[in-house]
Amino acid sequence: MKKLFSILSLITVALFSFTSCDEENDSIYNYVVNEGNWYEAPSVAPDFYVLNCGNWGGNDASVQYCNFNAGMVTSPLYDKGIFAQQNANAILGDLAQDMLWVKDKLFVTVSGSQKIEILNENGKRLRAPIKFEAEGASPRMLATDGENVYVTNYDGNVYVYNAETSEFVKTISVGTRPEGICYCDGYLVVNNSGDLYAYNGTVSVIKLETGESRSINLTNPYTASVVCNGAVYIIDSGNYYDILSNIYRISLEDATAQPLNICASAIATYENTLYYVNNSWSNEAGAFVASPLYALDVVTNSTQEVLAEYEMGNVNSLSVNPENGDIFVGYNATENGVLGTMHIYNMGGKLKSVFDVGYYTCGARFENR
Amino acid sequence: MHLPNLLPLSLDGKVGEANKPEDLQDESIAHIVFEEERGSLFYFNIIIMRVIRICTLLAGFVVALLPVCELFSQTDSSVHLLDSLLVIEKRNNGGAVDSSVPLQKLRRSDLDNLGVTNAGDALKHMSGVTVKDYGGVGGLKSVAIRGMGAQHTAVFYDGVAIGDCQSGQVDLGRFSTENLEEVQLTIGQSDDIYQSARMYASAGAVSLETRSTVEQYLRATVRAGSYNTYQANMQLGHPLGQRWHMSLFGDYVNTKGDYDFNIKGVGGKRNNSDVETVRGEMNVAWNGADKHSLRAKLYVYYSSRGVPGSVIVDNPFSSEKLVSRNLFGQLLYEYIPSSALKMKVAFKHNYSGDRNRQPSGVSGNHITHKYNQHETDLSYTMKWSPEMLNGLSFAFSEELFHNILETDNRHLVMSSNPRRLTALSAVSARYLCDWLGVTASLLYTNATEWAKKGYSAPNRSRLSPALSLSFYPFGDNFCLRASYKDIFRLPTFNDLYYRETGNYKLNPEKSRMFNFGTAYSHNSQGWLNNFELSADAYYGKVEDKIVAVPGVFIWKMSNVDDVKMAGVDVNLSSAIRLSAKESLKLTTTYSYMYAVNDTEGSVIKGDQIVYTPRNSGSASLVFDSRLCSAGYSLVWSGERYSLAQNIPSNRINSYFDHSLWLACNWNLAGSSLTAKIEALNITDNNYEVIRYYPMPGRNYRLSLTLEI
Repeated sequence: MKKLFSILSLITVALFSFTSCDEENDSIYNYVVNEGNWYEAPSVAPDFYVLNCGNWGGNDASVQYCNFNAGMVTSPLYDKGIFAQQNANAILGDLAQDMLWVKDKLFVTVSGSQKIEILNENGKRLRAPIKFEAEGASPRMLATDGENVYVTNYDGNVYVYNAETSEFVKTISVGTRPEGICYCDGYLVVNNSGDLYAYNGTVSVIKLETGESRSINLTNPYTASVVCNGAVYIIDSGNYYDILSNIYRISLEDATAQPLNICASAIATYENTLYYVNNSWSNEAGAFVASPLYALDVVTNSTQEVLAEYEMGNVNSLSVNPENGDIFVGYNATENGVLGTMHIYNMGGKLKSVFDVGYYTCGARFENR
Repeated sequence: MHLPNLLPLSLDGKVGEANKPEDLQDESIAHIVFEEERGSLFYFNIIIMRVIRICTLLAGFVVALLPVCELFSQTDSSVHLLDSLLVIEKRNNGGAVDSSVPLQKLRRSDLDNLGVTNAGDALKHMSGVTVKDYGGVGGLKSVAIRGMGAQHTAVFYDGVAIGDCQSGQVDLGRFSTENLEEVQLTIGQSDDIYQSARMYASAGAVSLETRSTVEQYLRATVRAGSYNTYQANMQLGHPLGQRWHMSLFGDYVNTKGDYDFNIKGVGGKRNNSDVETVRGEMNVAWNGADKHSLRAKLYVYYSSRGVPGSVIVDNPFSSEKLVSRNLFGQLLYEYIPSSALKMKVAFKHNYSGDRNRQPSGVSGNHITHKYNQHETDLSYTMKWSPEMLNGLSFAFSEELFHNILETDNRHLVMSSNPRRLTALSAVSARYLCDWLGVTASLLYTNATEWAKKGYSAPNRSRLSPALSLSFYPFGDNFCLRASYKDIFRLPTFNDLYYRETGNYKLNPEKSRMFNFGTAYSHNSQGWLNNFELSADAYYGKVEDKIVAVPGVFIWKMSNVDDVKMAGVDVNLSSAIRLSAKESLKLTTTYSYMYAVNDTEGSVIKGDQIVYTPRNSGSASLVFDSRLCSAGYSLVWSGERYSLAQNIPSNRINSYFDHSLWLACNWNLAGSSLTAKIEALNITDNNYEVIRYYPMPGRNYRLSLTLEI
């Protein structure tokens, strides 16, 4: 009996110790992520959104719903953000890539999850997500002509979706692994990043009226593609080794690419100004090196630094508010697994606001992109 | 074409030059780069040391080969065979109380009782380690000791170092426990100074020992389990005359691995989890004249497996495949001329090749990546225990190994076929008396690197000391111990050269660990016939931790973080005699691990590092009778974080994995037949060790084992 009692005591002590140890965790891990006020529910209409890509394989893409004047920014966390809150704690998915506001609908491509979510302005699903059910058929970037939404997809196509009728109306075959896309004056300009590790990318210039498609050979035209003063500007990201990045001006009429000989990792546009910044790896320094933020007047071809309070750093995205020209700079944390930040500057580089964003932010999105 | 300019590098706080492409015509290994820019005396010392090392190595091989020459030249056919010689060293029965550093062992019977089939799962039952498990039969299982990262853990298979110059971490899931006699974990520097220099060159070591008996035996197992899992293996040992012995081992595993899961409201069935593995091993031992012995080992491994990847919301597609081949052979010659002197020479060649078929990013297309690694290793070890210095032993080990990674240029664009030649020299001494044990060692590492084309990391050298003490104030059953080890790990070839992420300017990662502990053991013929308790507290630091730093489109490996760790490991085991035929065995482990980012200025300073629980442990309870035995085992882990920032969204829930088993044993004319049924993860919890890699829920295994 004594033996049995001893055995039972030992087992009880062992099991009790496991339970008590686990309970201690709650106090150990009590951590407040953000000192600011994050609204969990929208109380005022949004004036911009922030899209956060999330970590690869992490299913932690998120959308933030923001009203600048009200100082309202929803949580950047995938499980506490506006999408989860509006959709019964659903997860947006893996690797959000782009977001577009067309006809009162938010279109969000979630590349890892191979789907497009269509949401209302509060982030609530308007319909079941559009899934691309083939391996590797990942939707990437979005563009619109006001009626249709153009979606690049890694299956080598651009899908044309009518925002009014909610139907796919056309499929346009382009190059290998299409990424960035722009609509400009009846043309589509598509960046095809090329085969994996081959750096044999092209740019497709497609006249929508006739369907005529012409191709320009480059190295690695990636996601960045903007329209500025009636012309399309893209970034060729190079090969991250011995071919440097470069900004190209794409001529729609003759399908040519004119290099501006400017290294850049992100661009954005406002009226005649092309903002650009470069953040690239330097073998010499053994570190990522950030450039200042520059403003290029594409009419006069003059460049100036956006000074004042601009902070050089690990810039991941650049966006401009089309209403007032405010510049939204999304920074990655310098350490993996740490939330990023968004800085809002006015055109003179004066810092207007700072708030936390999710992992690897794709930037701010406005009603008129 | 723009080629970046190379500046003099500062590596590991050292000044040196990268091996520029133009330097590569001269692949001299005598290109010396020193640790730090120091005085000329320092350089002189290093040069002297290298000369001594090379001379000693040569002398060592000559000394070792002399008796071989003597052996083959002897004409006296009257060989005198001695019976097996049992050398008993005081206080050296291998228990925790006999070691001045934390030492944990799982023996054959323990492995059977825990229901584990691979070494990775076995290590989950030890304290002070974190096993990263990507789930399923084919999922990678790597082991990190006390939060230092898996690259700081060395793995030895029958004394052979299992290296991986590409990733630096060894998949312990691929080592079956079926033919293992013992799994041993040493944290810090082992008291056994008669070992190869590589045993000195890591923060901790996992040693897998196969059956080494010389009698005739046969052990065969067939097993069937959930998810279409089938396994068969056979182990055969057979003496060949008086001096030779041969053993063979073969193992085959096949599983579909398609288990259901449900995590965070995301459910489905794991697909692309199929695994097929074939493993074979041959050992030949020759016990020659009384002073000589020779061991040869040939190991072959092949596996073809799906790589399911993490669970992705709304994306069930997965088609990545990995085919791995591994072949290594080792020859070990040992010469023991007297009770005071013994020496051994080992030669090994290891080839491993991976073919990784991945989606190319274009719908439906795939691309196959090829990786081949070769490692050639030559080592010499000598131990001298002079009779006039009672209790004092000295050892010297020298090891030279050469690594090469071959892959297509898509991955190593900056450097093709990088190579590394590493020379390790270890001198050590141990003193042991009734009340004290002291072990001291000094390791000198020199690594030279070059590439067939392109850049390579500069050469590196470093001295690494270790010291341990064990104190026995109340006799042999109780010890107090303290140890210190300073060690570093070189960046892996992936860290240095992998396309887009590689950074050839990386410094080595340095670690220091202090350990203070105690152990108590009690053996008696009473009802509590065995009781062993050990508790160790530690404090350590890792500096210049190598991590991936995010950029806009690419990531780069960088030395950005420091980590500090402190914790406690507790191990308890007891065996209770219930009657003459019945016994009960209880083992528990508990670890408290405070391992946090300690980088100055970091927003995550003070945050627990990823996938490292503060609290974790295991337990097992085994009832044994003559006919039947039954057991319960538990592996549990507290909460962890999947990302560096300790916020609730990154928190992974704690888990408890309970398993039960029942085995019956019949003796049939000198043979033994055992039938065993196991119910694993009986609470059916698809817990995650790694986020979005769910583990299988409740599953079953049935096995039959025949031993002759």
